[in-house]
Amino acid sequence: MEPTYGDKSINFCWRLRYIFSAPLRHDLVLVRFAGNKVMLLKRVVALEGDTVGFRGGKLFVDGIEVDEPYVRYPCNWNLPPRQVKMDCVYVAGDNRSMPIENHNFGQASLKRITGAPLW
Amino acid sequence: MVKGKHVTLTLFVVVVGILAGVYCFQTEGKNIKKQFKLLSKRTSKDHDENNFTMAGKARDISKLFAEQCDFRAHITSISGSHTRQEISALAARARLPFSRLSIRFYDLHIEFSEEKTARVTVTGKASGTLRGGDLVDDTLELECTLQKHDDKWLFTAIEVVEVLEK
Repeated sequence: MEPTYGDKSINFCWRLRYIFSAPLRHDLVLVRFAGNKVMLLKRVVALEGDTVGFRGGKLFVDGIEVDEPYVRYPCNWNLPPRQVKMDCVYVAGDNRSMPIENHNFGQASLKRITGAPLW
Repeated sequence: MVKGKHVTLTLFVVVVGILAGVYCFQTEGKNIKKQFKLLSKRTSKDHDENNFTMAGKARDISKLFAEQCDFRAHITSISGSHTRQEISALAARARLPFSRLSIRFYDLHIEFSEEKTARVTVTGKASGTLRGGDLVDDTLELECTLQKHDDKWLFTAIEVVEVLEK
């Protein structure tokens, strides 16, 4: 999640963040794997029903380019548009300087969203 | 008085039955966790690992698997059914590019679906250094099936769960 969060930095997960509301676009969320010991810190870039894709490193949601001030490193990603399934959000990291195939991103079930970073 | 004795005896049998069930479940759970610890130990690699150790570890990894094990993953080259011998070769090939490799398992959830069959959901974290110096850090969620053969829990299926679907 560089440059927003430094690699190996310490943070806390606010688990009550999404008890009464769903994540919004640009929110930072924690995505769990089999349990809560290992999680991914990602940014929500699209919500359920949205059509999301990348063109020349720019994020497009429903065909409209989205301004992402938190992406500061050069990015050349290309990803054909796809629709986000129901009860899912589309997440990506802020560090998109690496090739797209090496980056952990995609749609995650809302059930896997454990909370948000405390700060 | 006799009725009271019967009630006490029934209660005693029920309690002993529950305790035995809990003990067996815990013991089997411990045995399954042990298999994951062994898998972690045998797949991990130190800087100074020689060819002899490497071959021994590849052979020992395959001993944790049943004669035939199904792999389901988005990496098509390893998907399919593999024999122990093939698993040994796959493990050796996968470990070869690394100068150091550590595989750890977290959040084991064990369910005993049928007799002598357990389904385990687990997070697997691989971190290491390639011979070229590049760092590798990858996390996967796995759904594993283990079956008990001659008092040993052996892996019969491993599926990689797609946490983030592109």
